[in-house]
Amino acid sequence: MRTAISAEQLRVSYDGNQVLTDVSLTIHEGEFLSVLGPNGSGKTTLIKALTGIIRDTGGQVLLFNRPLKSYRRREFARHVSFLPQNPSTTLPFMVGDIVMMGRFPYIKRFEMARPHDTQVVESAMELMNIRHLSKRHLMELSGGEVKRVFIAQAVAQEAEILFLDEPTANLDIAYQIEIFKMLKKFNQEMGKTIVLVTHDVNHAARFAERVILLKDGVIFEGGSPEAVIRRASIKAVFNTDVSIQYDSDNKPYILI
Amino acid sequence: MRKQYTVLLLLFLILLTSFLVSVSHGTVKVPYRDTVRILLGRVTGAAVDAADGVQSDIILKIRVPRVFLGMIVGASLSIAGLVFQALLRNPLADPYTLGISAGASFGAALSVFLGYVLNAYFQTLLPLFAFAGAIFTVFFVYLLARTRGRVQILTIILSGVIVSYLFSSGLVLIMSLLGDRAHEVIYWLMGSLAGYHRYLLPASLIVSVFILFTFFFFRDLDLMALGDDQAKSLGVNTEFVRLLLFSTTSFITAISVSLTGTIGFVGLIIPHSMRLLLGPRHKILIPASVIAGASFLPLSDTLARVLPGLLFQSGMEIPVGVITSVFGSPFFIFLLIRGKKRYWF
Repeated sequence: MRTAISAEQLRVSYDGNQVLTDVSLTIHEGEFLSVLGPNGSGKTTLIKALTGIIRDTGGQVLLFNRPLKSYRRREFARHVSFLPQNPSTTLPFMVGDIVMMGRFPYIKRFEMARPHDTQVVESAMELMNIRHLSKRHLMELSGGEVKRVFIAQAVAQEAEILFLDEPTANLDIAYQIEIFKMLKKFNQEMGKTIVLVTHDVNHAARFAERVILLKDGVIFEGGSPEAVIRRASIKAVFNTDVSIQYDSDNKPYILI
Repeated sequence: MRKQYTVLLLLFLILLTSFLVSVSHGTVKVPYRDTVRILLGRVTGAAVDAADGVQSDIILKIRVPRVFLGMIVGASLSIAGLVFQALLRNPLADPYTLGISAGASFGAALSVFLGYVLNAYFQTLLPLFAFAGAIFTVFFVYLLARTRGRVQILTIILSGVIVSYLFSSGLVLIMSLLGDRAHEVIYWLMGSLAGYHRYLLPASLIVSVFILFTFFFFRDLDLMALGDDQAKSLGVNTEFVRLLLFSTTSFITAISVSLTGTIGFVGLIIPHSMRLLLGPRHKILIPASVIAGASFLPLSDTLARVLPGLLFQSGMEIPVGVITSVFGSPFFIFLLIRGKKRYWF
């Protein structure tokens, strides 16, 4: 499998506070990876460093074996898209406009959107089941609908690698499962590489092929959900006692 | 979409009307028919009757430059306000947020002061001093706000406020030293379209080029509403775009301020009114704000010239800044009430 992104000795600090310490990590093409860890363990920072939002880092990040810093932002955005934790929900734009923003990396400065861009946007909205909302304003939508709009934007971006920071936060169970199933579909049917930060250990274990446990800015453990999600590792990282059960597919899940 | 283009067309008609009205009205009222004839005569080179000579001079030599200056400054302040509000994601941002007006005022006062000390008259140099003061201030604010190669939005607003205070106290100091001649500075501070038409041609060329340049960043400006992280991940080089557009808009604001003094409110109410009418997309907001600003300021100036005559049979002029706020705010409140449900900021 080809390497999509690799980080070597990645270090990030804010005002002298070391947030990530020598994190080395390889993400393969077509992988579904989940990053778990307690609040403040550096999950969001890791994702921001890997997606080039923070470029002021120690160590090195390579995208398809080329240093991240050598990419122009537009070019980078054609390969990697990122859905932040709390996308603004009070924007005045219409849903169609928001999804069209995903085409930014493809439209040259002195050009208008081509019919192809409109087509991509239409099918992204179709896929996320929000086509009927395209003329609605973002702020009139429910939390679940807003999330789908921004996922549609990421789909329209047509990047091979999709990073998501807690995409299911503040959503009800039905929406959570729908979004995870959708991501699984992107991964399996469209061959997208998915990297996901989540607090939900059970969803991570159920949908991801590989899980990384982050603690105090270092990778505590990484591997298949079966190997990583154990009573001892959860205790060590989250400092809480849980009981681990296994479902019919032999995927682990925790009981609190 | 069609509605937006209709509004744009309407704004354009308003611009033409504004031009015609502003050129015709004043202490001497010229009938519209004659104004059109004189203007067309100038364009086509047709001879003007001797009887029309005075009217022709009033229109072509006095009013047209003044109205053009108003259009250029109105357009500059509007687009600068629009861009500043988008870049700083702050509805209260206006072209003077980075301290441009305080810097320009200080520069202007300094030129008057130097004239006083050296016993010379620096009136034609005043805009150049004001311009230098404005550019210097923006530069200073930017350096102050920059930490490790990056500029935080809140820091830049705060730096602007602090530097404004600094230059304002410098201004007050100079005015107190000037004594009787302080009124020259005060007159300039109130804002007026009356003077400095000699700089009109270079100013309008530069402003037009910069406005066109800014237009091609309409998508970047839309995306920056999402916040820096998301804009970056969609491919916008936010730091570069911010630096670039701060520079261009500060430049045209500095030109405007140095030619007319501080004219408030235009940069605030025109962009917000256009947002209320047309929505958030900069592709339409930029041309709309430019046209609306170019219509609004000459009209306000015309009122400033005509009103005192109508009300008190007096030949004085009201500072145009007074008119922009007195007539601008009720209109803005009307739009705000009407469009409240849809408005965001």
